[in-house]
Amino acid sequence: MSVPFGTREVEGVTLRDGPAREDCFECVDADAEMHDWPEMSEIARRERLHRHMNNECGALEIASQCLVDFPEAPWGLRLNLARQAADEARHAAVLRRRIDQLYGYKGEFPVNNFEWAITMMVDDLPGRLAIENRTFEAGLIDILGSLRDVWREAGDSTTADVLDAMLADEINHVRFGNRWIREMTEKDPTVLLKVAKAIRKLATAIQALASEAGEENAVGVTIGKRMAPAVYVQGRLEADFTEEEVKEVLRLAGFRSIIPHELG
Amino acid sequence: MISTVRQRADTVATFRYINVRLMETLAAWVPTTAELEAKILFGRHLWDFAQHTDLFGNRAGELRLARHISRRASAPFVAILDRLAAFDETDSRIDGFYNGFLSILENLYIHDLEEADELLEEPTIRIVKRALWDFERLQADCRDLVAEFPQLSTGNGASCELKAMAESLSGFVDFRSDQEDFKQ
Repeated sequence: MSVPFGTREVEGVTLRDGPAREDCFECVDADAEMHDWPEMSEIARRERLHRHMNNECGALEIASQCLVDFPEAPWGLRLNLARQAADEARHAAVLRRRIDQLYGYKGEFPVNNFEWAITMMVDDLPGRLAIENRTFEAGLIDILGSLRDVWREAGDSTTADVLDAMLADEINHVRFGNRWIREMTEKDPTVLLKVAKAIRKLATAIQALASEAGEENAVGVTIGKRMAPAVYVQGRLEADFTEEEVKEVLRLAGFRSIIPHELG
Repeated sequence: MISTVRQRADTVATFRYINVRLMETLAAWVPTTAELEAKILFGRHLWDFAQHTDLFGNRAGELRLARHISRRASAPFVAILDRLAAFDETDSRIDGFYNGFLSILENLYIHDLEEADELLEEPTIRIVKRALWDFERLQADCRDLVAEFPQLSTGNGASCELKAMAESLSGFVDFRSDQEDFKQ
């Protein structure tokens, strides 16, 4: 297994060098370097879509590199990864089209390849699935679950429908990640150690690179206290998280007192 | 022409090998290709080769090989696959893959259809016809991309190089000897 990319140190964290990007893209490492507006102005909408497009590219690149790095993985898992890659590619293409429709363009805003940079530092497949599918993509289920409504309320039902279609795909990606981690763990309980090690690596990196509340970002917006997105319970259950796991996510997000009755 | 089950199984398992290599080649190009639209094209299309791999892998099992086992192609054919995978410029990758290698594989599939007994080999024939049908879409997608981004159309002779390598091929399947186990 060898990822053909070097590494770099950022804030004491070792990150994988980024995947190839055209010169029009400015790649940054910190959230504070991004152009992030809290409201839904025209420029803020384009930036959200541009950021999302790059993140979909990152997910495409991670799934693809897993196909390259783990030729001995079970064929069923490789087939799932290939499908994920194709889905993420379609998502990136659809977002690119939507950006064009809103008179934006490729490279209009800085992009951050953190998902790739940290996931590719893990050299086993269960660890990568734990970070990318079970954490980042599961987080995307929560984000998309609420973003659809944000866009619709802002009067853009086209983008809301695009995000809704992506949500359906992302649930499948999280589901197969959960199923394969479970299956691999049943065959070899030491897989759990790999998963735990990968998640610890991710948590350390997020802590080291997180922006400070009160800091100003690249467009002069003061960064507030980071709020976890609302947990999309139904989406996570469809993605094969157990009820116990969903309850744990809700507790961590500070929703202990309002855990849905059906999970109580 | 009627060939033995053993020969058909070796051919199908070799088709599987070729499709795995194509899926992996496109996958390796995704993070190492800068141009967004080309990256997306490779990402969408690697799923097609994964599906063809899956179909051939199941068919190999039906032909009394283990399911989802590949048979490495003949050394000269592997050399063509290796050359394809080694292209590192985006225009060479596009020309080499869509104008070069797909055309070579298309010829292999068509030759296989011509040789196969259409009743005895109907399950394999359906897979091969499905693959050929998919190729038309893949090549049309590529033409659309190149029409939008003409700078990706140059190719540096990649397809010609691959086709020249294919001209001297005498076969692409490394058939099992009589001594090799029937099951792998």
